[in-house]
Amino acid sequence: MTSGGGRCTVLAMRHLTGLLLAVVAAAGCGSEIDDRPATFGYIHEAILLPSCATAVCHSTQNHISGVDMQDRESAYNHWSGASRKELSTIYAQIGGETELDPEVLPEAGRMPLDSPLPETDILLIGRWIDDSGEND
Amino acid sequence: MRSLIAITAFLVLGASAGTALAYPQYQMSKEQTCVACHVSPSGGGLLNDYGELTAEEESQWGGNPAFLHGVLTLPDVLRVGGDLRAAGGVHTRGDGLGGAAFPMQSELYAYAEKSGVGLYLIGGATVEGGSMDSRSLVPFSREHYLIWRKSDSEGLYVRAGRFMPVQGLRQPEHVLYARRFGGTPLFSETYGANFGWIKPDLEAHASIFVADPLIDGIERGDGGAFYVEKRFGNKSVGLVDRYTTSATDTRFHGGVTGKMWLEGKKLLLSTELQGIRQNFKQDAPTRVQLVGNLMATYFARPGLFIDVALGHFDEDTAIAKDERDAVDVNIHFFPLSHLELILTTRYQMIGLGSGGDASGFSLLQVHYRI
Repeated sequence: MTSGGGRCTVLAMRHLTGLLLAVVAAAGCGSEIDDRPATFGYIHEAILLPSCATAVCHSTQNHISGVDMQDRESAYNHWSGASRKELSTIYAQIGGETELDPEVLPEAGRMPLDSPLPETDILLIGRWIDDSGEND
Repeated sequence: MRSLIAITAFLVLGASAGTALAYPQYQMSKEQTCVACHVSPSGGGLLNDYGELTAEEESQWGGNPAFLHGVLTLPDVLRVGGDLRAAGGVHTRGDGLGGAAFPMQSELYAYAEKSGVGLYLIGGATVEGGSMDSRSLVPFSREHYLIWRKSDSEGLYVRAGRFMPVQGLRQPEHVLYARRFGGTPLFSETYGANFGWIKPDLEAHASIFVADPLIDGIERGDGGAFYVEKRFGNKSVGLVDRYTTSATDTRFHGGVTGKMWLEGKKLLLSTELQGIRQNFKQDAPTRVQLVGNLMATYFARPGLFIDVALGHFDEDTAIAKDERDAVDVNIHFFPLSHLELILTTRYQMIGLGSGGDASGFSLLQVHYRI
């Protein structure tokens, strides 16, 4: 015999399972066309802050290797310089295709440490470098 | 090569630096609430008397579970503890296999209480600085707060100070997506006030907070968080709400948690799922994110349990092939009441293999509870 509370629980667990399946089903959905703004303001907020400005990495507090990706001006100073993405060291370091000799890349290797960026994010950053490279 | 490993080791410290939180795996499989074993109303950190006894019972060979193995006797109003943690292993980030060995945590905890009013302090250190030879450890306190509580096991509590706003299952593994991308990444404690109600079958926590005004913390927004969890015997259902607003964005999190303890199978199923809506205070489209974990924990015997977790994080539901999926396997072994060995292994894909390089790691952690 199932109590009222028990039935509620079973229903809740079914809903949870359904929600999880919906989340998994959402994998791969979304547009192949990336119409997000290729501006540094957006890239900093949407990509660099959650992926790079993390605790004991490139947060303002820890600024490992002297790199602060949390403060926008500081982050821009690290990203600016290359006129084309193919010449950007930091673009190479996040896994972007460049013309640089791998020997000139920092020893720390691929970034971010805990998870490579999705190709869509790398390409958006490359588009920003090629479009303007400005702190826009 | 040696310098590469050393640099990698130091940097991976950043990605993996841990904080000894509670083990939500013990909730329902052992006790109903976090405060059954912990001083903090949201769990984690310092153990109470029952928590220490549990640490002894749940270890292979036991040993005196008290602070410094009981060598030092403290006055009744004071509890002291701490955690030391280090790890080493291998990782890949799509650029070949690398090695890593690094310290993760060195923190001391102290709690003093008189007539229901207490002061909780965590003191530790974090790394700061530039090149390898110019880095330094600087003092850092993740949490320090004043608390009033009706009792040390249940009922009403109120606290104010620096702490992690209470939400979700509060998994100790901060690399799990529900924490990493769900609003409570490592070192995202804030200043604020929090009140809650804890009973074996129900708990509710409400927090309001502001970004740390003293340092540029990981959480840059001000806001509030609410978490309620109802338990029905061997099952529980929880609701998560969180709102933050900063100079550059607003974020709203809504989600659910669930747990089911299968006594006969010694298996605990748990899940945490969130939808996140982020509005940018610039000319950019609002994005919706989905994040969640589903975990099965098998309690093989006292002192040994194994987690197998699936994680999913969709960075922007409007964009294809940006979602991450991970499989985590963590083996926890407690040989002694003060000692834990954890083999933690992850394999992670982007866009199910079509959106970027796969990555992973396998690390052996050594955790000593002071």
